[in-house]
Amino acid sequence: MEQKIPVVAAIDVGSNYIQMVIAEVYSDRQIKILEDVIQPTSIGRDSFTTGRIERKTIQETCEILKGFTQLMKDYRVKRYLAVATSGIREAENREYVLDLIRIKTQVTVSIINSAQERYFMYRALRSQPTPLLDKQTSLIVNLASGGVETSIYQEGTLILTEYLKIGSLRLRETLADLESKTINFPAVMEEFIDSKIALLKRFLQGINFTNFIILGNEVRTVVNICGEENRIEVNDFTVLYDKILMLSDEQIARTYGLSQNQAATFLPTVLILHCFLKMTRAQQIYAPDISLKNGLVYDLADQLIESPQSKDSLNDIISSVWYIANRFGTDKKHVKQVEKLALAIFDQTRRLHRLDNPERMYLQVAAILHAVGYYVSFSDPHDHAYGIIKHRNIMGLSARELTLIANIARYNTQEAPSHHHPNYEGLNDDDKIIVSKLAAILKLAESLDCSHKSKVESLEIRQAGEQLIFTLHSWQDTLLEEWTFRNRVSLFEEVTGMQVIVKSKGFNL
Amino acid sequence: MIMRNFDTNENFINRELGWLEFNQRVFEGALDAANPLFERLNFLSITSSNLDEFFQVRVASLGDQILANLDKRDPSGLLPQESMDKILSRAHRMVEDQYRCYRYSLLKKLKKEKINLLHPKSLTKEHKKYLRDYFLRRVFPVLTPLVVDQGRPFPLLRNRGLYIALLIKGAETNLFATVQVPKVLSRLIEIPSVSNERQFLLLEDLITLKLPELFQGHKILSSGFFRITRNADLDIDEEGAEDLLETIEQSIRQRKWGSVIRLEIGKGFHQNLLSILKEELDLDNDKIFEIDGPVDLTFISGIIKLQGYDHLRYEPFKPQGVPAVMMEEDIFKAIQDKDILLHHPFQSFDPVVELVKTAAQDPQVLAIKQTLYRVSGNSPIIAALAQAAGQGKQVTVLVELKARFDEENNIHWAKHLEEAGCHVIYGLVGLKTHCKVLLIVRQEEDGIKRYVHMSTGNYNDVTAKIYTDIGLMTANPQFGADASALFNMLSGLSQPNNLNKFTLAPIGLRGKFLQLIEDEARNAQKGLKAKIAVKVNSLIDKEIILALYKASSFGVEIELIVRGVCCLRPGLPGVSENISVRSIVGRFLEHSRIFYFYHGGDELIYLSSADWMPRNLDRRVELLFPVEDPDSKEEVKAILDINLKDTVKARILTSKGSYKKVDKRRKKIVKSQEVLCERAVAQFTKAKHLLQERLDGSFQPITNELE
Repeated sequence: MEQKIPVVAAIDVGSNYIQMVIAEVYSDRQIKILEDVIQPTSIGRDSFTTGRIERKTIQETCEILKGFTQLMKDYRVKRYLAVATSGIREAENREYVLDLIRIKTQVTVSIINSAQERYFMYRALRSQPTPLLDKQTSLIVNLASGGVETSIYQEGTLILTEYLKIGSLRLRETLADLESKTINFPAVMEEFIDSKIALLKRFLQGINFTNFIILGNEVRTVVNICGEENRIEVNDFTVLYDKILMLSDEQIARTYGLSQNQAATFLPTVLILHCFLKMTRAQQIYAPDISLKNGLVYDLADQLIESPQSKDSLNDIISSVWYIANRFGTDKKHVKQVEKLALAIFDQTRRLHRLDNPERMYLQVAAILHAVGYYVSFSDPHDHAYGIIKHRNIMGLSARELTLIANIARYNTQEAPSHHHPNYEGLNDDDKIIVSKLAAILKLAESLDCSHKSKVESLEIRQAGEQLIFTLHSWQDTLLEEWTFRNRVSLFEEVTGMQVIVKSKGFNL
Repeated sequence: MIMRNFDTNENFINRELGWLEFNQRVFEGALDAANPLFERLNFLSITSSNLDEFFQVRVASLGDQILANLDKRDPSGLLPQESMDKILSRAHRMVEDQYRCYRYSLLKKLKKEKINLLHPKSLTKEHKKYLRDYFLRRVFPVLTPLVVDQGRPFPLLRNRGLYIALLIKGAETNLFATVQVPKVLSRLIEIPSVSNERQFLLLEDLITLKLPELFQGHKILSSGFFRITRNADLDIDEEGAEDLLETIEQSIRQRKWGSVIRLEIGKGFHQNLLSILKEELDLDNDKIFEIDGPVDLTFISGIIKLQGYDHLRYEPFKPQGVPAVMMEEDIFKAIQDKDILLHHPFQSFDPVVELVKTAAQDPQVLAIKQTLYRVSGNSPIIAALAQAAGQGKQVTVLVELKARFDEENNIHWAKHLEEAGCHVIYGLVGLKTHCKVLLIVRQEEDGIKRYVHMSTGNYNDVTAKIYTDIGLMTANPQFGADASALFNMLSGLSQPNNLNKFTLAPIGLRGKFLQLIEDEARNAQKGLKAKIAVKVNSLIDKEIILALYKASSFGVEIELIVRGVCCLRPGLPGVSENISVRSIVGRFLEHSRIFYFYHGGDELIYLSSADWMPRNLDRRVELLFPVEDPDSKEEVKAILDINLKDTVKARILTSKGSYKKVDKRRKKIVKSQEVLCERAVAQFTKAKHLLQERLDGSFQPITNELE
């Protein structure tokens, strides 16, 4: 029988747990969870202490995933998404670990970075029945084994997001040496956390948080102990915090009925939450029951059915990019104009470049970030922009996508992509084409606002035979823009195979 | 309020003595002249094999404790040695009663029915002629006579094997010799007869007659029958001595592995032979049972199986059709429409088999998952599962290999399933999987649907005709999700997740029961109505008993139906005066576990695979599930009620620990199992009429048109 209602699976190979959900995606976008399975793993333990994943752990992981594939067979799942987070991401032997998994279990696991992880988490958050982000200033802390993602939303818009490497398991492993050297280990750990968070405090001054949202597996344990469904009263949390400072891991395990694994990460989890809580004035902590795997399912669902939430998620990406642009002191008005023009060119020449929505998003991000390099230096700003973008975590973007965007921004000069440039040479052929096409568009968009005066009101592109006519509508004199445009048009002509002519129209003085 | 301490010795009944009382109630079935003769023989045979098992496991374990010098008292305050003394003395009395019943009552009745068990001395020439031939051709080739002397050590005697011991005159001293009564041959030898009388001789009597031939050249001074019972060393932890296990030193257990814990000897066994056996087997006098009659009553099964004689058996009862399944051709639709409750053996087990068979064939079914604990020899369920795998469905079967006394059988069909392409899993290490669940995953128009069947009894079509069990079929998605989670846990795919409806042992079952009892106690304390009614096979768990005492002391009305061992002592002032305990031993083996809690008027009803025993609550995977559909709830309540009203087969446990008959004065005579049979017949008949009406009705318009 044909699957009328698609069944999808999402697998999260995490540091502490390997999890999977199998879900049905209904046409009204309702998601029905059929299976929800979880198994502990020592991937994170291996990776954070020795930097490698041990053979035994690999074997266990394969066994677990083999079991998961059996379950997928039960529902004839064809479409799945399997991701690995920091545990595997930070392992030296990650490539062949993933290859072994692929050979032994037929599951293709891809590594995602913290920014993609955040993207999936917020994708799930957006699908929560009660909107948590809309009308308040929210501090969101996504606590994973490897690190903490911090974000701030103001009235539904993401304004800040940073990743700190103070995950619960990582803290435990990093500070393991210290544990035997102090009688007040919790205090030392809290001091360590505070030192890491201090970097963040600079950006948080003057913001008054009314909403504190915590996410992540470890957080669920805390909710189960001192909260109700998806809420914790701050008073209850403080009681827990005071109590736990006096307990050993064994006592924690016994008192709260936790496994050895859970107990080990419980103290760091509570301490991290406490450090963040200190920065807010929230009376309640919200802990919606969402996880990476939920986000993966929603993402799979988005691929099947368009949804308003998927649009919100794209907006989240763009807002976080704007946050970066602001942080690097770019001229907001100019950047907005370049973004507008770049997208206008992209949209009006779709038949020529044949690129799609993901590439449109790369162009948009590159446009917003094209000038971040000036923050570092006025000489070679494009090289700096390349470096900043490539090493920046941007929500929802994979390492490959960041490289593409960095390259696009890099060629926003007179220079054309060349095989002599290692950054370009390193790309595969398909990606070279994408970079060249989008860089060509960005060059033109930037040239049309080279005066930073937002002269061009709108842009119209018309094809006439082998010619492409760009008509600029402006109240002002666009001579400089047209001249710059002509200087930079050759790459665009090369990638489209058209002769480009620029005209200004309408608003003659 | 000062809380009373209920944990005192006088509040508990010793578990083993409680078990012996249960066996006594089974034995009453043999004594009951109202029962047909073969059924009485059957009860006697069950009593006897029960006792064998009891010695192999319980008495043996107690023996281990004594050897290890354990001085831990049981809840009733007895030391192991004290328990042992009481048990043996009770067992001796029981065995005497058994054989008295056999000799004076059953044997005579058999004779009246022209079934004769011949005494060797009463054999005629004709008989002997036939037997000589039979011996030479059939018996002699499989006999192994053994003589013990300096060169030949004392032989290893088989557990529960029947032997003949001989004292043989030797050159200096008398020698011990033995020959086993071969297990491969029938104990009953029929001697052809021209009349309609049937005549049998026991195999051991025939061999005894032929001993001189067998031991040619020896002078036989004396001979006699004996049988030993060994420590079966079956998972003792399965049997309740668990907490003591750790303290019993491994070395002692290993040294004493298979030690003899009972010796049965025929009447008039020679003293010299007995002292040889006593020395070789290291036995005390109280573990020696002198039997006035045939040693080892298992031959009775041969008599019961004789063709004909239907008047000596229960009138056959045909398990009835289940209305909800009859009324709707598509079983999946029937379940979708309404939960279906099945009460076996009053109602047929066929719908369960049909469900698996249908699922195996149904193109929409994606996966079938099932737990199998004990299945019948030629199980149609196994065949259906194998077929489903052949059809490309994902079939996962959890096989519990350690089901007691069934291991070999289980390994055999587990292999068969694997060969057919099923995923066979063996459950969690250290935990027997005792829950009975079937899950069918089906792809339907509007998405994936899950169908679940849960039961208090095994997926065994044969025992489902004898054991009373209740099953429930449902399409409730919450049950479906829980069943999936259960199988994921059992197959090691996942840690246990949050469950909607199920409660599982060993994770939360004990806590759930205690909570439910506590809730009633609290309501009673507030002056609200509070009531508990529970039907289980055994009530042994101390924590549960203490909780029930507390609830009773707060005024909760507690009615317990405990077929087997009950360590709770009812009717003690201030402790258990609001608790009544009854046991029903009838034609069908009471097996269903039902739990009713008034719960402030909500009336919660649960069914379970678990008894109130530590092993069920702590060391097995067991399932407790609620019955939620209002009609099904009413049905279960009615079943409980009928059980509680039994005046014939029920026995009431007194505060002294003995069982008495129900005081029938001013009460309607109720034989609960018969009432339930009638009820099932009535339900079936009503449904059949309805169905007929519906069929007739559907033809109506056509006839109208023709007119």
